[in-house]
Amino acid sequence: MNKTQIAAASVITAILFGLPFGVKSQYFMTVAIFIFIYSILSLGLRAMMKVGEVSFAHAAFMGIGAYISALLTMKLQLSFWVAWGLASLATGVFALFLGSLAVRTKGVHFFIVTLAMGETIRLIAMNWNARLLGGPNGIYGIPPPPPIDVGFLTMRFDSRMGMYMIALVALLIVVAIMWRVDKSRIGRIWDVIGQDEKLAAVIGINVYRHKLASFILSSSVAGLGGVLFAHTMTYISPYDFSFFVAVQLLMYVIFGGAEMLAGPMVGAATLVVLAEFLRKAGHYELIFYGLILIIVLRFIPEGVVGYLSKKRFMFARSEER
Amino acid sequence: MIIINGLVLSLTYFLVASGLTIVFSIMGVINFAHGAIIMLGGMAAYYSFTLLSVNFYLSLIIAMAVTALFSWLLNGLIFNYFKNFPLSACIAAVGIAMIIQQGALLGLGGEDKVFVNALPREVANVFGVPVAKDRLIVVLLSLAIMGGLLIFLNFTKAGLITRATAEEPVASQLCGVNTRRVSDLSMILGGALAGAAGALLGALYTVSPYWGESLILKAFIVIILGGLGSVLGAIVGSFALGFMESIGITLSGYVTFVLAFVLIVILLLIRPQGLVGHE
Repeated sequence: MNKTQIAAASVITAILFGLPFGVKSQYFMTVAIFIFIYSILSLGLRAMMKVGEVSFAHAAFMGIGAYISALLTMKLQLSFWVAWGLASLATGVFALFLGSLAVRTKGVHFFIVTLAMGETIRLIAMNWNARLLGGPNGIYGIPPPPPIDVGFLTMRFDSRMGMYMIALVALLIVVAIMWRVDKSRIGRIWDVIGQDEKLAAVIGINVYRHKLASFILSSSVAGLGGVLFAHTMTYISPYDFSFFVAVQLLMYVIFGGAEMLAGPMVGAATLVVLAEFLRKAGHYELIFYGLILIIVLRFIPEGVVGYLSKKRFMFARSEER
Repeated sequence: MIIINGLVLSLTYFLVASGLTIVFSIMGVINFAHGAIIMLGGMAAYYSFTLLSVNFYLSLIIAMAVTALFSWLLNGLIFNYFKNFPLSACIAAVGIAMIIQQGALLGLGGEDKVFVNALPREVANVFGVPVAKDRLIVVLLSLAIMGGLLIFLNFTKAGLITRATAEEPVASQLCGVNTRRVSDLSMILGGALAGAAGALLGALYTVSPYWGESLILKAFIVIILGGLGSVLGAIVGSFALGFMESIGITLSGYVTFVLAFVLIVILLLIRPQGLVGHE
């Protein structure tokens, strides 16, 4: 990261932290919270796309995190903070088991296997032990995070404002982790696998293990985001984690571009806001999403952020001459 | 009774999965829009049966023609651009599915389209077993389609070219095969099969805009079970799932789904290429 990027990132972060004090609208806050949550989820999905695979089970892992956290806080009366960590970890463990099977396949096969996985998990949530999981009705009344006492001041999180702050901090943490991964040796290895799996295997990279690692990271981040989703909505059902949600997350990543960290976040922010406008216009959301998906894939396959940075890069190069 | 139910279910899955698998074998694309195209076929059959008031068999043919034409256009307009990017094509197909589904919801209404009266419903006796006539007709027609498909693929020149392209796209291109035309052909074939599936299943159940989604998920299971891209695999997979479900129906709907999934996982571990597929 160069100085301009660091400056831009800190300015944006500062603005995001300041915004809720300026804009008091509940509606704005809710949209912003969902942008943060979807950014977290799409960043997770991007980790998997780095190794060149697209997982459709992502929404289901988000659901696993959401359900586990809801159950831990409601049935076992655990604190939200503990439940959050446990749920993300548990999602990672699920991902370890399911991933060790799914990662054996690749490309289109991986598509369908993860899709079948996601759908099976959703069906289990819908049908198995309705007293515990609530069946198709899901779980009601998930508590908001409890207040934190730091001696002189108490931070409360039962308002939109509190949730906004939590989601923002969580997003920053996820961005930091993903940035660290990107810059590390492992991140480079994942890039190699994504570009040419056979080459990676030839130069001595254990493709299976690295893909599994990226699957686990990707899914635990999905679980982490799912917990936030559950405690923001206070109500979850199997329908919140359907195939369509997985497609939606994929769309955010593709729209923004998977190349850079900013891509999924820009994608989520743009499309969530656009969808909010469209919701008022009527039932054109899906048609719009479909069109966007096809147009972006067809004309700017590197995504909006990827396209813009390439443009700037070319521009800078031409100036140098 | 279990056998008849199993047969009906198996053929249902076969109708849905066969088009999917043919398109995959040629283009390497999982056509996520296949379910939506089946729904379009059902709609076409419904409207030609009710509005044009032609008989069921003619509306079946109309439905097949409509979806074949639609798939051909889809290939020319969209899939052709993603020729070398199968993953992008799959995702684009998801987009197409969303557009078709929502378009049908807005244009044709969300209510269930019922044309069960298209086929006679009285009970016939087949070898002493009572079977509803509509199911019998659907079974016979699907068997005919299945037979026709196998004959086409195995005993005609176009079928030979199709199989060759599926096997070795580059080599067949070197032998003078126009792969663009083969991909058109496979989409038309897949579309026609989708239309047939829509019309036949629509006559047994009902058609609604969201219909395709529920159909296609099971079809995915069928094609992984049987091995991606093999028509024979689709037949084996659909019979495996169909009979498993008709036996397990006393359990409950989702248990068989989970069971099928477990089966897939085991299969992936020991035979990643599917039951009858090959590398």
